[in-house]
Amino acid sequence: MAPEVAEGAVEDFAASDIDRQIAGRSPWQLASRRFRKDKVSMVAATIVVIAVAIALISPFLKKFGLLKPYENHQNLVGGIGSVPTGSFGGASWSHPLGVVPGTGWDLLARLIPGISLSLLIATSATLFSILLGTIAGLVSGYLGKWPDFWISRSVDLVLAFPQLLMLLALSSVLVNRIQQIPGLSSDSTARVVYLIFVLGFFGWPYFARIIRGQVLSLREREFVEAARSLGANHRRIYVKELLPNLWAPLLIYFTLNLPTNISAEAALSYLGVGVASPTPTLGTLLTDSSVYSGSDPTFFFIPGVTICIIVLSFNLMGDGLRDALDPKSSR
Amino acid sequence: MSARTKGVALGAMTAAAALALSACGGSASTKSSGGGSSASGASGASGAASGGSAGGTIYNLSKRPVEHWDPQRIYIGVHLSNASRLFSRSLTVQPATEDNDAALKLQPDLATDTGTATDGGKTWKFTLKDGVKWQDGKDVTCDDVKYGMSRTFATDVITGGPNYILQYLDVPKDPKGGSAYKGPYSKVGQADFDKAITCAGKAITFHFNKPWADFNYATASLSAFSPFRKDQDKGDKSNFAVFSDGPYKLQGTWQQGKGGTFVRNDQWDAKTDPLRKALPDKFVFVEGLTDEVITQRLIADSGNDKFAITDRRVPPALEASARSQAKDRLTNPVAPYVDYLTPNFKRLTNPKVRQALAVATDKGAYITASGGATHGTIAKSVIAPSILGYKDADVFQAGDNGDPGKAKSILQSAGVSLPYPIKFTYSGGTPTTEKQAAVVKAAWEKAGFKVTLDELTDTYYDIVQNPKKASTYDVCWASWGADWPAGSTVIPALFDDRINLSAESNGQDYGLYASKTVDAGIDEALNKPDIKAQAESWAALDQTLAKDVAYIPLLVNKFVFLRGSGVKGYINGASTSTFPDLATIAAK
Repeated sequence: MAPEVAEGAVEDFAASDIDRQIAGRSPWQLASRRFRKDKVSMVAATIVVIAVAIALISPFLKKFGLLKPYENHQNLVGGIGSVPTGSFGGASWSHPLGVVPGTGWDLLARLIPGISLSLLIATSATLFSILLGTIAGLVSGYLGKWPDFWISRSVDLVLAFPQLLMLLALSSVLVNRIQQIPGLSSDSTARVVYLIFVLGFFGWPYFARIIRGQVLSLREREFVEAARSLGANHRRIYVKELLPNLWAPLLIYFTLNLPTNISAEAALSYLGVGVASPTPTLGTLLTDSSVYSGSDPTFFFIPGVTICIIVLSFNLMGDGLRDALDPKSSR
Repeated sequence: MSARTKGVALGAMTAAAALALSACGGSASTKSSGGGSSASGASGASGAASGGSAGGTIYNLSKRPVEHWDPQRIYIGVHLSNASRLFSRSLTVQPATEDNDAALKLQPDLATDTGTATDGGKTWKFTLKDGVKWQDGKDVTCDDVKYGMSRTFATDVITGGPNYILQYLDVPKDPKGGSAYKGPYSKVGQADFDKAITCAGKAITFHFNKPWADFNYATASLSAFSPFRKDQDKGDKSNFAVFSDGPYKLQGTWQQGKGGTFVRNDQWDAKTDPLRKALPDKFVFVEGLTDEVITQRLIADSGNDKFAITDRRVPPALEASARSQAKDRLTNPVAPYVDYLTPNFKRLTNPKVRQALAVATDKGAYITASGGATHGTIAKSVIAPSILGYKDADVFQAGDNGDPGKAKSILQSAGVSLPYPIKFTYSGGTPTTEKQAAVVKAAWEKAGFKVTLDELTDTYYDIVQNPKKASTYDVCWASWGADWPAGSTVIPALFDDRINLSAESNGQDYGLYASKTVDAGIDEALNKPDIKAQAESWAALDQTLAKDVAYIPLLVNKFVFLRGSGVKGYINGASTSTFPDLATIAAK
């Protein structure tokens, strides 16, 4: 907003000039300006937006029959061991990325729903972590004393778990349990739920620590003291005083945690505890392709390169956001 | 035997299948008595098989852990072959050869000839050789053979193996239809058993309740008919306690999931054994590897892997590299196993629904998904073409790729609402099985079905053989290889409800198929003493089963095997279900 000046005192100046020169900007506007000046982040953000758009339209493309991830093209996979006959993985105008060995499924038609499901898993798992982590961090940081002690010790405990081993060991038991829940009886749905639950669960301690650290410094600030002395209850302090100051770190760590989960989905699928093929995710596509390095290099590279690009873009965008939102960090 | 050779599970697959004989070639003249030669020397190894001298170590790389080394409990083709070649001799044996006709010429092993049948095949007599010893130096006696056979009757302890002997041996039945003899541990009915198998010095005589024209093929292909020493029997604890009468014995203990080492048995006398050349000093078994790792190691061919063999197939993804980099070390034999689908007769009671499934099935896509023409050919019957009793049973003539249009009209005429839901259970776990299931699903969905895939890995047998769980699927994947090359080891084994279905198990009848007509036909066929006449009955019964859609045949398997460059005497013959024959193999 423009500064208040005595009326009449500014007549000599064009009002618009003043606006331009000294218009105040909110921290978000400042951050957004900083972010837009950062070319690398902008490129990364563009890719992220495209990936998210693909993920969002994929179910509609499938519904209207434009994507047929399971349509066999037996005639295209006549090579030794049923690899595609044509060069570059059997790429053609109708199959721009080639076809899958053995079945002749169109790779692009599998990559699009694959990105969609992987992002769904990674986003849901990250949101689940944030939810748990934020609650734990707020309570622990603000209340201190014994709630802080117990929450912090649980954080240490979860971080001390050998995460990967737990994932492997729990998978069949938990997936079976999940399958008994009505509506989740199919194996691939149950595995998606399992991944979201488990990746989310093992992710919350990181958020809890970050949030706790922020809250520890925030709770001593004047506006919190003021609210407290005016008799605000805990709920009000959490929601109205503390949370609004936590959006920046949450957003940054959301964008940094999400690509970790995309990679984790792929790794778990390779280890056989993630979503199982033929349901396309980035992980199952990568797993399927991993043995084709010699016989069908195109098929081998495309899923890996796709994961690499998406994960890198999210990471660069997250870094850019951090720089933009935290002016104190040096560039 | 069930072979579950499926790709996925590969090796593992348990299926019992594959018994050895199976693959045999067409001329299955299973004739019985007197038939074999007096074995002078193993019949020649053909082709790559020749050569080799004593010494060295052969490394056997595998994936699926061996479930049983107890001869009476083995029913997986490759394990039967390996046990027979290394440590468990039986009355008769099939020679090590790649020639299908020669593989059918039985040789005596523990016996002096291939047995004499009298009374139209209801009585069989064998005489044991002198000088065959157990690994502790004691003679293999008639009582040991008899004791071995008695163990199969202890169905509460000795599980997993074939149960032909229970159906054939002339022992009274108990009121529930099982045998009145309950095995050597409880000894209930022991007197009846002692009458059915009698020993007189070195001569052993079997009395059956119906003709068993090819009994000496059963003794050659199934280690369940091998001797077992009573004082070494610890029941279930004998599962991996190998006690050898063959050229090799287990060194130390067998570690399930890891493997073990077989070393020479100094009590074995080559003069009593024309079949086993016993050239390597050691066999090292390694299990728990993936197909990809095994194949890549064999392609690389470095260090000890030069002397490695495997029962695992080259995955389609690696076949091109295997063929370009290890062409001379690759074999592609026709295997005895047929992959097929069984509709669940407790759920798919409408015959039109089953017909629609059969007509919609795209066998061509299944073969492509399996890896193409080097991995199998279109199956037109559950009986493999090499088996006596095979006849094209493609009764619906829907073509190699199925006919979704026709299937849809059959389904619409069935009076059910579309899409018709199908839960398809299969033995999965590898990229290949996933693709196989996915193409089957895609073809059915074109015809108006809505398919849910239910992939099972280690639990496959637990589910499909469990009467309480078997009601959960509509269609089940299976694979079977004849125990020996006769229809009698396929049709009754898979579709006779009387021997398969009980309160505890579905046996091999995963589709819960039960038909009085077929049962009567089976009895009629089995009572024919002549194998050739039996074959006609099996072919006729097969047509009935196909029209009933008791099964939907998919493909006749071909295996793609690699071996190390230092391996000599390598044979993929019908006698060992086309798995590497350890009788002739050499590392030098």
